[in-house]
Amino acid sequence: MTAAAQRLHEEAARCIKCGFCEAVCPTLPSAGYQASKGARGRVLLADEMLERIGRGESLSGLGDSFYSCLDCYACYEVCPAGVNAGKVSHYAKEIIAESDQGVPDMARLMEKNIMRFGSLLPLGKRAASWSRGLELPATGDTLLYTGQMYQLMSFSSALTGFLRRRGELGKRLIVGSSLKFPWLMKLAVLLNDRQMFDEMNNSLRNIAYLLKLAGIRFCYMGADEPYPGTLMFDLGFEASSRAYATAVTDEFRRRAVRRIITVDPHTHDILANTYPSLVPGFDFEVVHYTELLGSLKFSKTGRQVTYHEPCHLSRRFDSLSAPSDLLGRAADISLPDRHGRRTHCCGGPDELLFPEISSGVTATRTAQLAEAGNSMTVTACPVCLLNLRHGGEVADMSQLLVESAAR
Amino acid sequence: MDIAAELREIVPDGVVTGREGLIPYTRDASHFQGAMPSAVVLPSTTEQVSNLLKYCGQKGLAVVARGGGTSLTGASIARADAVVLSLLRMDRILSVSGEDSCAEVEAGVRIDDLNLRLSKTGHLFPPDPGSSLAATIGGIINTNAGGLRCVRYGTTKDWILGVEAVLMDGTVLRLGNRTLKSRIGYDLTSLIVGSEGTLAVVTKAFVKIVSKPESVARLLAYFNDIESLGRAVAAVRASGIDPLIAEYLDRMTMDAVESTGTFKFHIHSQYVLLLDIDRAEESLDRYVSAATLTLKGCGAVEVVATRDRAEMERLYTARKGAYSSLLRLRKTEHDAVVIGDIVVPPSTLPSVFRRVDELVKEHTIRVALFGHIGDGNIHANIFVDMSDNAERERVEHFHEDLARTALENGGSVSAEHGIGMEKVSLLRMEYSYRHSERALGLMKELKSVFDPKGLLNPGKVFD
Repeated sequence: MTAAAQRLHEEAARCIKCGFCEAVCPTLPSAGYQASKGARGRVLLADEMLERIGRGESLSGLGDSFYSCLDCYACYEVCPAGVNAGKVSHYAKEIIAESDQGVPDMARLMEKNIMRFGSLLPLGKRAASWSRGLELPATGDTLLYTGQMYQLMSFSSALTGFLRRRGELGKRLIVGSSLKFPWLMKLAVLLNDRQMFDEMNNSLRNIAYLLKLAGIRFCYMGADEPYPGTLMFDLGFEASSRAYATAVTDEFRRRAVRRIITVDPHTHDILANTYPSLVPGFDFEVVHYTELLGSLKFSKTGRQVTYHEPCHLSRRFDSLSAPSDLLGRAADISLPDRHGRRTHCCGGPDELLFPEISSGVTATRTAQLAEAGNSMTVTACPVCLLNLRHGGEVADMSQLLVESAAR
Repeated sequence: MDIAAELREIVPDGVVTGREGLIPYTRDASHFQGAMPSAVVLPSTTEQVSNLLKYCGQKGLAVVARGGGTSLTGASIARADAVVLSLLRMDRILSVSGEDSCAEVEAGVRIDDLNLRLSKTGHLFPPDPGSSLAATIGGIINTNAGGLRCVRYGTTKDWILGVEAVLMDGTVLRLGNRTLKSRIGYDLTSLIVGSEGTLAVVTKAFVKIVSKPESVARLLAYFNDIESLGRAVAAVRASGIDPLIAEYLDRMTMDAVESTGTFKFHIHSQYVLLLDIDRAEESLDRYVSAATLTLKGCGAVEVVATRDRAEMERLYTARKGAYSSLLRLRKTEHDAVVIGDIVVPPSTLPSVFRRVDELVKEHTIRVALFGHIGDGNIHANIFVDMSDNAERERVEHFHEDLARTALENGGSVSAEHGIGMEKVSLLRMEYSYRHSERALGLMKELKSVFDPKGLLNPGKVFD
């Protein structure tokens, strides 16, 4: 049994089949309540996967269940037996990737892009355009690491929209061609939602402004900054993720970095929680930018907003209260019924592989947020922002914090 | 045209076939492995359910209706080839009326979701099985589920004003309505409640709702002997304090709960009694003081009262998750936990507990005890290594002796989990003990009136 299969067995074998996870799994209702696209179904299919491995049989037909998992860990919050169906899906994807049986082309393309371009898409200098004029040093003890997440949103949004309009067949053709001819990806970045691009750049400038206001000195890697590899890891490419994370870490070390300031939940999560297991000796201090702003004076802006807590902040970090604390000082906030550790995913992680499920999850969450009664939602994640915007006005937290700090 | 194609004609976007899609429907929360269904259908409307049942009836296909799949007795999985009818898409809360004390809900609505909605108007649907997060209205109606609040509010049957149910020939019956009273011949609504999907498929229900209690305090009374605990419950009730819930946990269950990190008990004792007292705000403290004195007078070594909402919530979650927490104490992956679900008159609890203790020693098995002590419901959670035939046999004998103990004390072999596949022989035992075997015969005759071909959830309740 491989290490991934062993991990899968250890996680899945504790399941008691109670179905609590299924009741909170966002993908189940969005997939028309087909149990194979819900958390309990995934654990049961993990048992099937292990049995097939034991018998030396093909794993085909099992992938969709695991790849449709949002990795939001809502299931883990309610599991009385402590099983994390999100991890079950992750280990299953590792096994599929290792065995090369049924890896979706889109997943393979993302892996290839990250390994080749150091990002999901070859953004080049575009990734650093937000920092023009800020004169940020390229090396130093404290690094502001954007992980390109904000920058990627306008491109990935335009690209997924483009693919969706081409239909399933067209999408397959384009993805298949891009696997054969990687240079096609350089054309993909010509698709860009310019308004979104400017907005995301503004968010990054806001964050840099707030950090400076708080007296934090930091460096930035500019156009050399690599994406942290989050999606590749989430898709189960364990060996590639290990090699890639090591290369990213070497770059941090080369620049004499000791402390890394992250700006989005996904990057914060992978650096703080995953890199230490991927890279031996990864001993950097990882802080979310909001944790450094406590000394700033914020005044109420008079806005009444609903706070959507990103899964990767509220569920992966027990003691990270800074985002909601700061927001509470800047505005009157309401929380939807599902908040805190029971927050609900925005649907973003499924956008590439399962756009219909993603849309369904987004619709559910936007309805929950609307029930909270405010016209504006605020979040601290560019992925959430992009998805929730389909349902109404959504702002990045940094915007409100800057407004509040400037008063 | 094959069966799947014909089912798709009825529910175009809601038919699951293929091994990978069907596997999740072979299990529920019980320890049974169900048969692989021939197809799973996910209807969205009563009309689709009607057409599906009519079709399956004509083709002679067995049908297993399924809600949240939380049955502890194997009621929601197929024993043999069948079409599984998942009602989760029927998840609308159609109306809530505080004025009429009624909500109209589809069968696939989960209990916690209903209560979340009701809480916005200060209302509550009282039945609260431990699985309320996932259990559905249709599921708890078919199980006649109970829960923690039974001591005050009774079981699900007390909260169902009417149901919409579909017979195997496709006939849609609308039984009862949104009124609190309704005398319209034989009470078919009550007949369907607890029928475990063997008579009809419930698609909608009118449920009774109440105002949420104004103020609640939660008491934890620690005891070192079970008889004192039993006396304490009787004394609290005799003193006129009508608790909202009265639960107990033994040491092993407390250890299991603590191992989940949900709650840390204040002291180390052999048993703990969990008591909720609700009163008007201005008199609640007085009642809490009176109850504390009574509990201490009956031998409680410590009593802790809390009104802190977060702590109360943690305690409630811990108690509701007790069974699941116990599963963490399984020694190997072959271990299962078989749950006894007996109920006895509360006045007999001290002697029943003594007998249970003897039985555990006689059969040399590992058992954790907890339950709804306020209504005499004891859950004996028996650890069994399913790969050890000798142990399985010992557990089976314990189960039977436990059931016999309940009967000898004026109780019943099954309180709230239903019969499913698990308690078929115990059901026979109960009617035999009462010399009322004819009752089982009548049930079978009723079943054949509703479902002449025996296609609805076959192999459940009866052999």
